[in-house]
Amino acid sequence: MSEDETRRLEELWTRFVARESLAKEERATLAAALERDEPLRRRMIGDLQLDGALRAAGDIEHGQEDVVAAVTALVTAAGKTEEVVAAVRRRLEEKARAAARSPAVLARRGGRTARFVAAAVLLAGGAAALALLLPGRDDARTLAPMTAENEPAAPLVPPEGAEGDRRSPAPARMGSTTAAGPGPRATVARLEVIEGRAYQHGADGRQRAAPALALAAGDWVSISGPTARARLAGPGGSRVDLAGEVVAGLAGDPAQPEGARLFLAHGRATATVPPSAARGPILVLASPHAIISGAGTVHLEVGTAVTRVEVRAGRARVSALGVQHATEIQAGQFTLVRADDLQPPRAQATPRLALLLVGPDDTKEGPPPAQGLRGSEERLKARLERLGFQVDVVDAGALSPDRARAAALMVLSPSVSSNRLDLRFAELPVPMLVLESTGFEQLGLTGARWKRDLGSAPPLSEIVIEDPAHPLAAGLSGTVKVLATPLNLRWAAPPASASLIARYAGAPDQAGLLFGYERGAATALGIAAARRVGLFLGNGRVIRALTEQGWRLFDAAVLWCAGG
Amino acid sequence: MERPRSEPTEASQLERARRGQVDAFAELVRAHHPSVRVFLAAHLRDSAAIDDLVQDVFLRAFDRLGTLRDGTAFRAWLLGIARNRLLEHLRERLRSGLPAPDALELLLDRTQLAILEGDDEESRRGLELEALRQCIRRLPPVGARLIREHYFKGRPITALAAEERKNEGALRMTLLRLREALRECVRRRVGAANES
Repeated sequence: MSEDETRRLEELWTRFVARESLAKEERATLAAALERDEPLRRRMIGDLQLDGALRAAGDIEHGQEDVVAAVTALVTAAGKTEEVVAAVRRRLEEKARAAARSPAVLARRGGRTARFVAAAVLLAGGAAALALLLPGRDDARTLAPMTAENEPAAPLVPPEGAEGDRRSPAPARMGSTTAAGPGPRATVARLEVIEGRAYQHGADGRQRAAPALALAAGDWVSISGPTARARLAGPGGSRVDLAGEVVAGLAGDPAQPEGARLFLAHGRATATVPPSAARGPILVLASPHAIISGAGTVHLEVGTAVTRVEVRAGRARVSALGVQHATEIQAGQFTLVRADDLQPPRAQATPRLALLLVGPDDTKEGPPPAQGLRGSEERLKARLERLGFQVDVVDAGALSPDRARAAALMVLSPSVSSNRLDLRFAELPVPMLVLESTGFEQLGLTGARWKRDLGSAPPLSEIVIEDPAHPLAAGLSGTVKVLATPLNLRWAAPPASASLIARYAGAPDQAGLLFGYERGAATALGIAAARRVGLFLGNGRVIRALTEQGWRLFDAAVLWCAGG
Repeated sequence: MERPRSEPTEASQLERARRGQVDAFAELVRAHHPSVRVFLAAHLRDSAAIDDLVQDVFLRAFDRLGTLRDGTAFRAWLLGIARNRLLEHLRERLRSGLPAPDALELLLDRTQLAILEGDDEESRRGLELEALRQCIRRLPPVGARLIREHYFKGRPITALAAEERKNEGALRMTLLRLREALRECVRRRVGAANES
């Protein structure tokens, strides 16, 4: 290899290791060279390993306690997941015993009786599928739903089996009422893990779910982590997207062999159910509070005491477990369901559009997947959606002013190459939330002089609220812990026309970590055409370390910024 | 021979952790997390995957504490779990093709997998963090400062290049040379330690 070639390859390699974006041809050149030149390959792999070790050593300096806390929580929660599954199972068993003692509940009475089969599989031998039935019109009996408010007083106990042994005997087949050994497992759905950790709880206890996992009736799945996502491909072309912390169980439908039931014990799910020519809906959903059937797209959020049901397309029939009527929800409507209360449907307000701008810059969290967002950007997106925005993710380099003007808010991820932003961005009459200091400079939120207008703060996890009365303070005051672990942040010193909301202890004068401009205020570049906010979330590592108070400040920044 | 001062403490933590005491296990995590993370990060670029695997390793270790016979070999045992978990992860990634890799990612994954499967002492042990720290201290002051500013304080290359009055490409090359020097230094130190 000539010297020029070596220099070229080294140049490409160092950009690759520095997490810079390489063009497709550049990556192909690098791959071809490494493939054919073994000494070069060994040398570069060694370099990559040392780069990784150095990055890890840097992470360790700042993230040690975070990891210890996370692992401790996981070790504790690993037992809790099994406890949740076992506790739900026990509640359904109790209902089955209660239902079996009252056969009148099963009979039709006068008017229509809705019948619903919800499933749970016992992880010990001798299990039976359960029928959870809505009472008929004349039946005053109400079934106690499974909520934390009326959980049995007895403490949760670990599942059966030797201490520390998470394996359990095979479950009985769904629909059987007698003890049965394990039989062939009929697939009810397939699980695709898109991001994060997913676990299957079935015949062999708990195991990590791999993509394209076949699930049988009686299996439970859980996903964990704020950016965890998985998709269940169900019968008849139905699909359920799970997001965040979710626990869900699957069952067959004895009344309709082609169908299935999904019980969402906790978390968020969006189900798309096609119309079915069969006797009933191909997929029926349930939560501890509600039963939902229909065709279309339904979004569920199941909490401790309430389930939110939003119909995004089609229509759904929603019943509360303890209420003797159902209600029809149409597209664009939602309802809140408690165990004993079913509210009338309300119109879902048209969500405001937020543009999340992303780019190629390193956010200190590794390159994004080919078809996805960085973990920090997934969290930003999820948080914006939680605040009621419809979020479009846009490459900052490809955004046209016209498209930007249609948005209620623009949020610039730290991955945006701010020094390559079109200067017209600064003049757009669109509220902007800017998270990274080169963006502050480029968009006129601050001047450009290092150590006068911008600078590095020492590693910190707490900030000091200077203006607690301002909406940007999110109702916080004094010293607030915003990061789980001390991290390096950048401070900014905006002109006096900005409202300085938060600093850090010992900061230079006017050096802030959170500040905002009203529309019409003078900025470092001119006049703010809409509200502008600068917030200290300068890279993905910081975003991922945010505490709940840190996220409150983000929420407040979004809502105040978008409000003007 | 006098036993090292830390041994009795770790032995008692292990014993308590075996009995299910999570706080004792947390101390073991605190002590050994750096080694596990450095080991994994030397083979993976995705910090989310590294975080994931670090947690998996310790979860597995907690589940399997009962199988650890020699308490004095806890770190080596832990790195063995990390190595196996990493092998599973790389194999799964290559098999599933998710996320869709290009030729460069595929080549790097295959090469890393081959190194791990080679099962030599160096691949089992991984890069020694303490040796790395000592080697950083032995770098010339300018080099040590660059390594600390970039890797430990997270300062981007653009900012460092401006301070050093170099273009970014030249600074990246400087970092490459520094990394190579560190690698050689670590190799010599670990080799010397094994011989003594």
